[in-house]
Amino acid sequence: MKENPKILSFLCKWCSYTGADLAGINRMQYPTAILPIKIMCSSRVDPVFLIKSYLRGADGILVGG
Amino acid sequence: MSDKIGIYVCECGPNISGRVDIDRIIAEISNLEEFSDKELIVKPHKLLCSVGGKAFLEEEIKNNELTHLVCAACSPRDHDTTFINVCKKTQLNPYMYTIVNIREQCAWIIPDKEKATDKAIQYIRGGIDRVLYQEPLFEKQLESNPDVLIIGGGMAGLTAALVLAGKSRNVYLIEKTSILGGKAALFSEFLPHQSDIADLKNKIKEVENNQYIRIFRNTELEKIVGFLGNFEIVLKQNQTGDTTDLLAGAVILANGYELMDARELDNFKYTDADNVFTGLEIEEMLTSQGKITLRSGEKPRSAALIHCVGRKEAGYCSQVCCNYLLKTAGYLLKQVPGIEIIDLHQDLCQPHTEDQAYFESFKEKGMQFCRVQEVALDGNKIEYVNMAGEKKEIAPDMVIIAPAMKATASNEALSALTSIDLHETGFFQEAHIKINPVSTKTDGIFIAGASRGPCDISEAMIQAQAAGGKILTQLIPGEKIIPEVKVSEILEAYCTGCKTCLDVCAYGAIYFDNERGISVVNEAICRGCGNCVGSCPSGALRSRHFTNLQLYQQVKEALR
Ligand SMILES: Cc1cc2nc3c(=O)[nH]c(=O)nc-3n(C[C@H](O)[C@H](O)[C@H](O)COP(=O)(O)OP(=O)(O)OC[C@H]3O[C@@H](n4cnc5c(N)ncnc54)[C@H](O)[C@@H]3O)c2cc1C
Ligand code: SF4
Ligand code: SF4
Ligand code: SF4
Repeated sequence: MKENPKILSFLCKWCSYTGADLAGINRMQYPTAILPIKIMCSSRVDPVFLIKSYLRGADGILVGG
Repeated sequence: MSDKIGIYVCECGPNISGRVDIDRIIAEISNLEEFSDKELIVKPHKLLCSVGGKAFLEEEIKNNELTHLVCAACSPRDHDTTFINVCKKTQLNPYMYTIVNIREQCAWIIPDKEKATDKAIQYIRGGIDRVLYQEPLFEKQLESNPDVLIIGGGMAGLTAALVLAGKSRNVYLIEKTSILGGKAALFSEFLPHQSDIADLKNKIKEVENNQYIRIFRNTELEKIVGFLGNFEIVLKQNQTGDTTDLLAGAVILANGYELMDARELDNFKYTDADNVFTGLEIEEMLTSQGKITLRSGEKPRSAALIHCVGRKEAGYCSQVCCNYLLKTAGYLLKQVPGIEIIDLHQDLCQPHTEDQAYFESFKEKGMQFCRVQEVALDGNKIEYVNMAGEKKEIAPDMVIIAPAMKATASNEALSALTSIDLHETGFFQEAHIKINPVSTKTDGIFIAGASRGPCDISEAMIQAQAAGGKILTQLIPGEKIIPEVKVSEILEAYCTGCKTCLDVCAYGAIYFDNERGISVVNEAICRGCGNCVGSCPSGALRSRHFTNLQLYQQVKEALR
């Protein structure tokens, strides 16, 4: 595995963003590789975002919704 | 006017300051090369959400004439609104502000202070980049109508009407038939541990005498358009065809249920000449002729009750039939002393605290209870297999069955008119079974009673009161409604009128403007989910607070 992978995470404000908050509230730990971006709904994620993100060096993308 | 960006880093007591290096954040953010052409004001604060913190922010925004604001603090779920409200007291448009979550999604998840600090800096950079691409948005205030349309005059509809009607709120209650009360209007009694049936008559009288409730009998919904606070409604009288136009701010769907026709099932064969009755037919018979008899007019000497008819086919338990079959047995035992009754059940559903004792009381009255694996009916001949695997045949004088409660055809018709989804069983789909059980995906349209799924009268009333309560808090007479500001828009110059987006929007917020040949977003309905944006082949759709550019800036910073 790459040493510092970049995992872009599009998180829906209703569910997965809230989930990420909950992880923090419970002081869970996860790698700094996760890079969250809040959106109103996972359906906002245009496939073009994914392509552009990979082109700009993302190692993985998580769409949470 | 040149950009002046205020960046305030909240220590949140020790919550943030204990786990990231605030001084390093301030130093590094102040000297970011990519923003060297902008004026950055970067300051820490002990507790931004406190009274002092808010006053500090307000002063900073005013005194520095900020054009953009970034608060690096907790989750937006905690204090986004707090900081938006601070902006509202100043010259800064609240949509020129953004919150960066360096607590829940940074300080609290990374034990290494240096790494957490690096990440906080990265997030804040993303926030600055994003806010620079934000644009001012302006809230609109819409007049709202506090009146409520209730569809269905059963126990759910009547209850909701009485919760809502009052001096500053009219209720329009429409009922498809000529009578109020729904199925309960056919009952001779409620379950003994519920109230007296006279309560139903009183409730109907109360509704009829309430000057703020207007009842439309033999009437159905013809058309509805609009949104919370502003529904335009057309009603149609079934007999005359006359229509009535109304305005209302909210709607409750309380159109009830019907019973499955057991004759559609393979193992239930009988005709209208046989002495086979549904529970509801027994209630009707008792109400209309005052006694229960066979079709010949004679008294039955024996009877069988069959539970769960069509339960497997329907895919759910109807929750009320075990109890009402006992209620029916009670009628029989009272009228025909010595009658032999056998109760054939595959399961027993006794959800309330009083139900168990009610059930036991029938054992004492000599009723025979038999748990079965299978049961089939041909006329009044019953074939069943008991738990020991033995096949038995009986032919009682009378058979009373409990067919599954199911959604009526009205659900489909109302779903087409309101675009409220139906569950796979045909009942209305709630917004969220746990979080929002009487709301629907459309603001301002609520569901209560058996059109939402099988329930007894107490539960139908609880749901009606819940829906009423929701409306009382959302539609306050005299108060204006402020719809979501972060909505989507369609750029006329790009829209080719392909209508793709119309199908994509789950809220029905997009309509087609025939004259201009383009689609248009109704901003009062749009929730800003952005679903439509990615679907538009022409790039004509734009999400105002989540534009491609704003998100792309965040992506760029994240991947730097
Ligand atoms: C035999 C039997 C006995 C029962 N006994 C009891 C009991 O003792 N205690 C108990 O708690 N529960 C009992 N129940 C359950 C009870 O019937 C329901 O819980 C209750 O009727 C649900 O009320 P509701 O208002 O949701 O629906 P409903 O009673 O079905 O009322 C719905 C109303 O909406 C009207 N309507 C339908 N479509 C439209 C439309 N498109 N436009 C306008 N109006 C429309 C209908 O005409 C009806 O008046 C029994 C059920 C059965 C079958
Ligand atoms: S309530 Fe009783 S009779 Fe009705 S489906 Fe459930 S278990 Fe069967
Ligand atoms: S999908 Fe795009 S081009 Fe097609 S109607 Fe909607 S906005 Fe217009
Ligand atoms: S943003 Fe969502 S709610 Fe608004 S028009 Fe687009 S799909 Fe519909």
